[in-house]
Amino acid sequence: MITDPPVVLLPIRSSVRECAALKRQLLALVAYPGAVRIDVTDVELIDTAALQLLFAFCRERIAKDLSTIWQGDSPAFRAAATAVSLQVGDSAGPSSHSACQHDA
Amino acid sequence: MTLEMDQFHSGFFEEAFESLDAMETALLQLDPGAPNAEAINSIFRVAHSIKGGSGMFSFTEVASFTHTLETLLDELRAGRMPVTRPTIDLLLKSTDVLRGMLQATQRKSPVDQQTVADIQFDLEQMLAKRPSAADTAAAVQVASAPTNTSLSSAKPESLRPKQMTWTIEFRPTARLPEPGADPSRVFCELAELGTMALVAHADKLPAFADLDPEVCYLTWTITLTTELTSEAIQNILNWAEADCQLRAEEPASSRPDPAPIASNPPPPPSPPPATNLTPTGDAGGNSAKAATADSNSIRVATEKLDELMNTVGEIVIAQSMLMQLVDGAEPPPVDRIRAGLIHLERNVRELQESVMRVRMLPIRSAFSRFPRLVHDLSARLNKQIELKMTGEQTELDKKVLEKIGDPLVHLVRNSIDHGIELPETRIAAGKSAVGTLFLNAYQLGGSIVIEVGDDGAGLNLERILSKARAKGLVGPNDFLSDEAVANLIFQPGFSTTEVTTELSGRGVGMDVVRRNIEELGGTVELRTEVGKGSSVVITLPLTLAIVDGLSVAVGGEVYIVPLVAIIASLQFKRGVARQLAGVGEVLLFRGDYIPIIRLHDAFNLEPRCHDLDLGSVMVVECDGRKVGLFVDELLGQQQVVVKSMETNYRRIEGVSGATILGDGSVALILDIPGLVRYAAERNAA
Amino acid sequence: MPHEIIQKLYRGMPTVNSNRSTMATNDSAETSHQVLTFCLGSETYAVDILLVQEIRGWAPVTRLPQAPIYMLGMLNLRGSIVPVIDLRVRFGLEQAPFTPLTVIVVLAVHTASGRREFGLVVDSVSDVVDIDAAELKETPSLGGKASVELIKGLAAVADRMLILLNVDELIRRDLEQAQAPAMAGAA
Repeated sequence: MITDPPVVLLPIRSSVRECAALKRQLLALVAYPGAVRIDVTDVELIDTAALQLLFAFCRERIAKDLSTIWQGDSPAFRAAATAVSLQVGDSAGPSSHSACQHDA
Repeated sequence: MTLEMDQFHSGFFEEAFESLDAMETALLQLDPGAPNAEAINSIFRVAHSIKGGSGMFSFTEVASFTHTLETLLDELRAGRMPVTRPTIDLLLKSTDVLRGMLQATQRKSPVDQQTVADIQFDLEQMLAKRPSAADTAAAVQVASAPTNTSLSSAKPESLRPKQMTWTIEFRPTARLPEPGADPSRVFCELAELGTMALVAHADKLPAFADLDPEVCYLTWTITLTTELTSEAIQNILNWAEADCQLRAEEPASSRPDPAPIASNPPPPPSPPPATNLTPTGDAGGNSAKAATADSNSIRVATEKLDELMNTVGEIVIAQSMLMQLVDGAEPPPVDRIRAGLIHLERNVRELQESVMRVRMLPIRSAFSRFPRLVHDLSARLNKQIELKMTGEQTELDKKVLEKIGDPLVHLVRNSIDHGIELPETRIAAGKSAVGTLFLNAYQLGGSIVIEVGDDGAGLNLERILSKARAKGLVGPNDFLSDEAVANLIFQPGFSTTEVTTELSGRGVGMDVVRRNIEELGGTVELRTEVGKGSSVVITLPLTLAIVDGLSVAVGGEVYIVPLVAIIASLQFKRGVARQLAGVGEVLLFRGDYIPIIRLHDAFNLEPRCHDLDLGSVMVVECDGRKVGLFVDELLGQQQVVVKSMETNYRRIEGVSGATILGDGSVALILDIPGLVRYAAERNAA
Repeated sequence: MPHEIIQKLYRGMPTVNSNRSTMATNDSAETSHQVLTFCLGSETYAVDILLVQEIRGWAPVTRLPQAPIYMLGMLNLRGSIVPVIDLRVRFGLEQAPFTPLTVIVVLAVHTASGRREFGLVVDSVSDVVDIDAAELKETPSLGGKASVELIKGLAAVADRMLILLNVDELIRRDLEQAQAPAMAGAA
């Protein structure tokens, strides 16, 4: 077991402009054997491009049967995800293990 | 606010104002007895599209007001409420309120809340009076749209006639960094239209490593239940850079239809289902616009047209230079060159005319305000007036058109106010109770004639004359024709307040009307017959850019006299001119003595001939007053391109502009009204 | 000869285009600038070279009614109608006969009412010289020969005294604000 899972801290502003950097960060972790934590606490603005990137990341991890853990809560994050009908995690609590899902 | 949004806004406002004008026109044509269903429909569509647009741009006040308006219109459209005179009046007031709100919104200034609230209250009152109001209100209490925002809070929920469920397949095409490309914005807009369900699809999403963060791979299926037409939905989808498939479905079963229509399922809204929508919206989003705007009309910046006009003016000058060169050439010019030049001349003229036509617009836009004006004013004055307009398609130079509006309004108001009598007076005079106000426009040769007249009481010439005598405008022993007396009201200082009732107002600003029209190079004339009515005849040049003129020589200078002003040109015979004490030189012309202006005196030039017998005289006319203009020599008739003196210098009394002659020299164009006034002032002194 | 001057002017032209901003201000903010000098009687006058559009030989112009005597009339400058002022008469010098050397200096100035072009008739143009703003001196009384308001200042260049013309004031007084007098003979 890996004891100290890496954490991705999403910045205050996660928009298409920041996506290239975010993608590089996530790409390094997409095959990470242990759980990856994504912390949304700081997010004040997030757009569809960033949500799509996170969604794709989660989906790939699920396909590889790897776990992604969402931590923190951000109303902006929740609202943005709801607005485009994506569920990138329920962001309910720091250790919730919700997998990425989407209505199909 | 981003620049893009501002651009969208200005487009919306422009369209909305046009739509409102069309709505007003349609309302004025509505016959309370037998309303035209298509007319009501088109009015409804206008209100609807304004509501859609203002909702989208979050102009919530406008949207809320339009919603109430739309509700009433929908009742009328469905025949659930009768179209009555008060209804039409209220709807007309609503268009005013709406215009005011839009103007305020455009200027980002506060909306006149009180007026809006008053009219909105009136609209609601009228709605409350409709026969089925009580039942429907109860029936739809259950039906409420959960996602509706402030927009829907103003909605009387009773009226949801055409609830439709639309399915939209939404596939963004733009790269996400594009401003406004984020699909979430479109979803928010759509959510405001009704009940929306959104499902995202990720099947296009590539492997994470291959994902380009700037491309939107996600697609969505939107299910929207709304009473709005596909057009309103389209309007929103058009802002998104996306492929959209819009499909109509059965009305949502969960929503009970309002009682009156339950037995009669509504037909699907106008556009066919499953229309392929493109972001540019050419699939049908323009239908509201097409209904109001004239076909084949274009908007061109006037500056561009002016430039083009100048260029063509230069070609005309160059061509006439060439022509002169060939004429004076030695050895004699080759016939073929000449033929070619003649051909060129014709081509250039055609080009000039076609360019001129680009500037020409139908007078309809100036006339369009009059039905409303007549409607409102006659109601206020308890008069019955029928407005007859002809020749609305007559075209005028854009610049003339812009400046003719106010004088026309003035004349129309005067006719309503003071020309047409009250019904009882008319009946007593043996006339029909309904007065007629007519506006005619037509082309007469190189001029445009506009007549504004009525079959009212006419002017009281005796009173005008005695007033003019009292004011010293007319000498005690002067004899004036009826026509000349009537035209006295155009004199500055022929004030109204002291004038008799029939006249009052007729005199208000009539001198201003005349001046405005003269500034456009036109003339104005009044005809009146006691008991039968009066009419004002305005004659305007087709264009301000070119003048047909007679070139004349005085003391080494060449001047251009506009042909429209010239009645006759004559060679003096000995003894025709006489010296009258106090008047100066006069000339016997068709039985009248008319004053002579020696142009060299007026312009301080040394003439070639002082002797009247050796020079030439032109009889020019302005406002019914004739003047003989004495010059050295008449040179010939020609068309000249008018250039402003004020661009580099200033306005000069007696000169309306300048032109460039074939030899490249500058010639001044005479301002005949100014010269005639000068003659009058000189004689008065 | 006017022709040589025009050659010089054209060599100077690129600076006009590359230096648009100075055209609008045309003022003393520049420490050094080029001026066109011309003769009027025994005096040498100068105008900012950036204002000069064209120098052309004298040709008759179209007279204007009710114009002051120094306003000679209107000239056709490539299709636009441009007023021409006799600067000698404007400055109270006696009118001189027009010779082959007599030239019209066409200037263009941006004013509140837009771009205005006008011509100044001078005895002859002489040269283009650099003057330093620091060299510019207050205008002493010129003994009634010229209106002091129309003079921006004096500059000494190579033993010559240049009188720098205040073009903006000239336009304001002669082309824009003056009231059109009543027609001649109107009592």
